Amino acid sequence: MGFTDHIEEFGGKPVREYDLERGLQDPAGAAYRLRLEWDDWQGGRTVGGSFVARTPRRPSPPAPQTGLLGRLFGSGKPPSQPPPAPAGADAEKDLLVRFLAEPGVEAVTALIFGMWEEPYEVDSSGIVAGLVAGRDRLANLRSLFIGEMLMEENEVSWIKQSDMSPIWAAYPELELFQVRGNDGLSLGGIWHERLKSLIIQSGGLSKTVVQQVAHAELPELEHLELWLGEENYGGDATVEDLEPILKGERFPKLKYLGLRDSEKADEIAEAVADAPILDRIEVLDLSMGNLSDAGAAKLTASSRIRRLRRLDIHHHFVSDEALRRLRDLGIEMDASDSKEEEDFRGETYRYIAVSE
Amino acid sequence: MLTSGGKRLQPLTIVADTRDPRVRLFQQALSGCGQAPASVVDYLDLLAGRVDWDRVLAQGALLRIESPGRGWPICRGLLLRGWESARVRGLEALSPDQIEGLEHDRCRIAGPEQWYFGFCMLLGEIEAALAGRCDVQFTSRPADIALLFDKRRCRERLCGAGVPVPSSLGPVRSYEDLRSQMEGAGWSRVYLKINYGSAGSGVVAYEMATGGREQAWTSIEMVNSAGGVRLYNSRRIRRYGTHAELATLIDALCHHDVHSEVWIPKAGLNGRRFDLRVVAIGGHPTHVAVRAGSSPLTNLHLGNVRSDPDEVIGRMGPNGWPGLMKTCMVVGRLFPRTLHVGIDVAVTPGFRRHAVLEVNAFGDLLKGIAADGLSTYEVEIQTLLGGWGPPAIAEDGESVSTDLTGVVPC
Repeated sequence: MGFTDHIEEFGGKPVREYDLERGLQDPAGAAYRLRLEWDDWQGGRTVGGSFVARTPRRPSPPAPQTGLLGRLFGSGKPPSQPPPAPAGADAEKDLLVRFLAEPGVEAVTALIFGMWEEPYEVDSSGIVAGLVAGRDRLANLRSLFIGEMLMEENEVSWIKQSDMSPIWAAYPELELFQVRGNDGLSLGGIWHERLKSLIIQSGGLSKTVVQQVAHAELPELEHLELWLGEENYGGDATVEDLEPILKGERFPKLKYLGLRDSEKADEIAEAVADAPILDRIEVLDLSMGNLSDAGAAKLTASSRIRRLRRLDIHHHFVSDEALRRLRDLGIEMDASDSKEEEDFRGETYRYIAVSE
Repeated sequence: MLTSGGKRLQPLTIVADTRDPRVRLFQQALSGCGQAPASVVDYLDLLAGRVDWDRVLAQGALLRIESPGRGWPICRGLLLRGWESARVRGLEALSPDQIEGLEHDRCRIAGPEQWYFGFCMLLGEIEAALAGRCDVQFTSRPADIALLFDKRRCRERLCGAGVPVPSSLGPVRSYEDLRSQMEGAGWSRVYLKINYGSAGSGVVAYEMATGGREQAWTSIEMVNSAGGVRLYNSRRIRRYGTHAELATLIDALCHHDVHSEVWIPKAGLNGRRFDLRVVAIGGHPTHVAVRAGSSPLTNLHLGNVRSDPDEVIGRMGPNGWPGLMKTCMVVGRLFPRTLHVGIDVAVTPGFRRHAVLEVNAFGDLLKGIAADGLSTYEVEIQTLLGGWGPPAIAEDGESVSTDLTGVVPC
């Protein structure tokens, strides 16, 4: 459970980490990840911190008022709104400022934001503001991931997100948008003509976000993936909130629907089993949740499910018997990683420390 | 079968729990190298004062001190031995009656300081008994063993040599004390470890943020009992999220000597976070095992996969890996009178940086990991055959007994 590896591929490109010393070595061929190490911000490093006025938690050296930010707009096109003056964040030490100023950055098509400064305290609004301010530099950006942090770096439910809606207008050519972390997340009124993939990973997805997605205008969307999570972690979205999606009112080109990592997997399975959306999609993904025989039975009994090309329920609690019946449907199926309720009997799971 | 070129090793004696599988494995390695089996001195006999060293140790003998293991009789003996020591230092000590009560409560976290003091006393007795035998050579110097079991002192030694180690806040007295220390230092995340415990025992990963958010991840299980909260080592990672739970957990932990360190994120491979166990023999890092676990956020490695480090080496690149090996060499050379050390190294998620988390005195059992076809034990034997011995420098006078007086009570 939990994200342990950084992704190695994104937007169809191998991922490279942006390194201030080496600069941009392969802007067209690689997806770039901007990330800090856990102690970088003690040296004043930030990612996007220069683009928002923020009260620093700890005193920082005064930021320069000109310099790099001025160079961002050196192409002669004045911004429609001047960016807020950096307060408490030194532009020279800001990874996003430096990245946007790199020659060749216009060739970048895929961008990942990993750990930024104190991500359990500081939200992603600086990154969003920086992306908006730098949109002319990133005119070729097609794939964007904000919040690619490991559990070891910051637990999913502690990642502080923000209002992402300025991204829609700033990046009309965007095709893939992925975000990790639900706390503070808002997608606003989603209206985008080209977006093909939307992926939201969380420990608990809020009603607000699910409703925003359910009312989104995304005529080109092919891949919708929501990690619904648990109520304990902010997941107050209900199955009813998914209705507009399940009814097929949205997303005429949808091919993949993922309602993953849910503690209500059985309820979701029941709601999806006879939903009109099944007539449209090719792949249904209910993996990583707590799907059990109850949910599996609803799927088996569905009149529409046979049209699917593939059903993914890996990481589940379904019995072998119920799995067999599902397999008899003849759909390509991933039912690996079958889980069992843990045995909590006392001593069998305690151990004696060994002296090494 | 390995040939030793006809070379004979000095007679070897092992101090151990006779029934510990390590003993049999080491004997097998000796036999595989064409050497005579070692004689074995049981810890129980040592504790009972039944060992006549002059009879046991041949002229020019090598003495290998093994782990006391986890068997109850030896553990009990060490706890009893440590009882007086702990009391004199004002530490919570288990009385002989309470010690007896532990026999059926083995997974409980109880008396680690007392165990340590008992063990150090025993090491000191061995040293004292052999003070007149300059012909006898320890393969692990007792003073080094004592230091390696003390996380704080070990870390200081590494720090002083420039080895990358996590920052430390120092001893923690209570939950409130921890939070105030963290706030003062600007820390949000910390690892708490029992200072004299083993790596898998009594570890808590704690984090806090504004808005009253806090949580801890640990394999420790809290159980309410008549005498208060008891802590047990379990195989299941739990998350504690309420203020009451966290205060109880950390206060209970702080009945022991607790060492705090910054929580360094660990890299993952194929869905599992990992760290490395590097064994340095004769000052050279020779064997590396990747210890990967699906247990998040603590140092739990029970039953976890040990594999070859090729993938890690590849990911760390031409600068990262040699740097890590160099660090391990520096660590190995910090203990020139100890043949082998087991070094726990963390690699951070960017695969560029590393830090030494712990150094283990009895961490040389790495089953299934070979270097040039040789196991750790075989390399140790070869190193001994090659004439490994203490460096030809003046005796620095450091002994276990002097080390012990330097231990600071809580």
